[in-house]
Amino acid sequence: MTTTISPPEQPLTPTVVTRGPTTASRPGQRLFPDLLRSEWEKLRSIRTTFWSLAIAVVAMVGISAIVAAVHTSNSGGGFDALSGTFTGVLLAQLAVGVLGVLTVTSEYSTGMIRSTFIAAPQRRWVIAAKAAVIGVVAFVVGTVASFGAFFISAALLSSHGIHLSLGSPGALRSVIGAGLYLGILAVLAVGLGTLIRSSAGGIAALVGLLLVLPTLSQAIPTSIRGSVEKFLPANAGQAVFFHTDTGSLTPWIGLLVFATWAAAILGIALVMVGRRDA
Amino acid sequence: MNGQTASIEARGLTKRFGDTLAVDELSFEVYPGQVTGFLGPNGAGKSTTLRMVLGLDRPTAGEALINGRPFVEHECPLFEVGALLDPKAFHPGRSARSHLRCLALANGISGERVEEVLDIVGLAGVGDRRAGGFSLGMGQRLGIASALLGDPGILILDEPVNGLDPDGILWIRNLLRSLASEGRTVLVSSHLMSEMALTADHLIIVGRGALLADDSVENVVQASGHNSVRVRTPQTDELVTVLASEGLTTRKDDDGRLTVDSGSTDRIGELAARHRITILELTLLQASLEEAYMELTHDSLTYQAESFTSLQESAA
Repeated sequence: MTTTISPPEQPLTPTVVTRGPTTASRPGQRLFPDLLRSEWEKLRSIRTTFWSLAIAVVAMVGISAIVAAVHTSNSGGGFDALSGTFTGVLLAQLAVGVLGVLTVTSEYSTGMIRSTFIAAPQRRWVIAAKAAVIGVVAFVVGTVASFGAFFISAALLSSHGIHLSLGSPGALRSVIGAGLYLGILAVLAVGLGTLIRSSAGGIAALVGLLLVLPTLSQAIPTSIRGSVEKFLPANAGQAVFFHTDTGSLTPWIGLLVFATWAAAILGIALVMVGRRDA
Repeated sequence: MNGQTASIEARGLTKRFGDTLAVDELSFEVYPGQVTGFLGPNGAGKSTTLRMVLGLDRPTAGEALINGRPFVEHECPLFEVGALLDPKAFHPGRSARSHLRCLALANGISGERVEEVLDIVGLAGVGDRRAGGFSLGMGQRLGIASALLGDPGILILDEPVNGLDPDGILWIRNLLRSLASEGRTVLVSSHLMSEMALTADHLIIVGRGALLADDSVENVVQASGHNSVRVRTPQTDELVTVLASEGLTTRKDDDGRLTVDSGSTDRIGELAARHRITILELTLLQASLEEAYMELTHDSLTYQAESFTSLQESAA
């Protein structure tokens, strides 16, 4: 990233193309920041982004409210109520994951990817910039929605005599953890999209990884099932906000395992995108 | 050529897709200041070659250089090369302006330049409309706008006039000519000889992935050797006999004139004078670029239709 390139010679007699002084001047060496800006512009100029994130927020806040409203029929302490607050993440993760997959696969399906790679042949940096931008956006939006879900849940539960605040054991960790889970998931989804390149295939892989894999694990012999299941991406990542007494990893270890999954999938994708024809 | 260095250079460029050899050890150089036509029938490997030049496809063997280096080694390539590969290489949900901004930002190009190129290609008025609603011609203009973003010295365009109306074709033709006259390198692919005859100065002709010709437009026409001579005479039968005795084949046209397949006007004129045959008209018919192209690519058509072959024979 440190080689310097001298600007090409200006045309001899600029007539049609360069009217007046050209504003296409060569920037300094700021490849990755430039790619981040480019990917941010891509993300914010597509309606899919808005709708996916809106669905994620509504799902998290809305389902949290519903769960809290019906919670009173169950007998449960603060921790069950806390887990229930994040039920909406199960739906929000699909919206965020699909968005992550589409940020890559929609470029392949439309042909935009060729324009992208002609403007920036450093493909690995392009995909890394995509993952960074969507990851941060998903984390920020997810965390805001997570706080929203928590406070609406706490308000509804308090009218039924259940006390839940950010000071409750594990509450703040769960709220921020849910945001982190969605941010990491978006990065994982960019990796899947880059590997698979087709929207349908990428989304299928996402659903398979998040929802089908945990079900398939029922086929594993009971003796080792518990120790395998807890390392599956969704089970591991959700340990940070779903507190189950049996078998799951501890919250931060779980999130770390989930982040390792995301890093591995993105890593393979980064290797592959440099090797394949675009 | 004139001691200039090549802007684009292909060295033994080869691409194999499974059993298909799409590009076969192709070597050529492209120079600034002229329009270079990259010609070949459909399926000749033109697009694959351009994709390898632009770093999108990896060559099976050989290499392609842009200003002496592989394309992918250029850090801000929009300043070196502008490319139009596909008129629909944008997200249909994005506006033309946003699309250009996305690409410009990746190379640190300002928003002002985006407005400039929108203006140059005549899309300033529809810059905020979703590009998905654009006609093919508008899509081509948007593609050209993105190619011009970095004010590059090299332009590579794949079939830019495909599907355009006459206005659009004329616009592209003039644009290419003016870009070349500004000293830029313009490489434009086409399967249409007639279009290249009007636009190009130099031709690189490929068939089945291999180089068939790399020469100026005039030389390609001359080298085809398909010149014929048209003669009008009241003594048609006598002239046919005389020419036949000299080994020259003739065809009688509908209007009574003769077309002599080879031979010069000088020779035919002298033969006629020696046999006291009156000549009313003697014209050298130069092969068109189209015919030269047909002849070159005749054996290398990948998808040759029977009717096409017979058409070609009747035209020859």
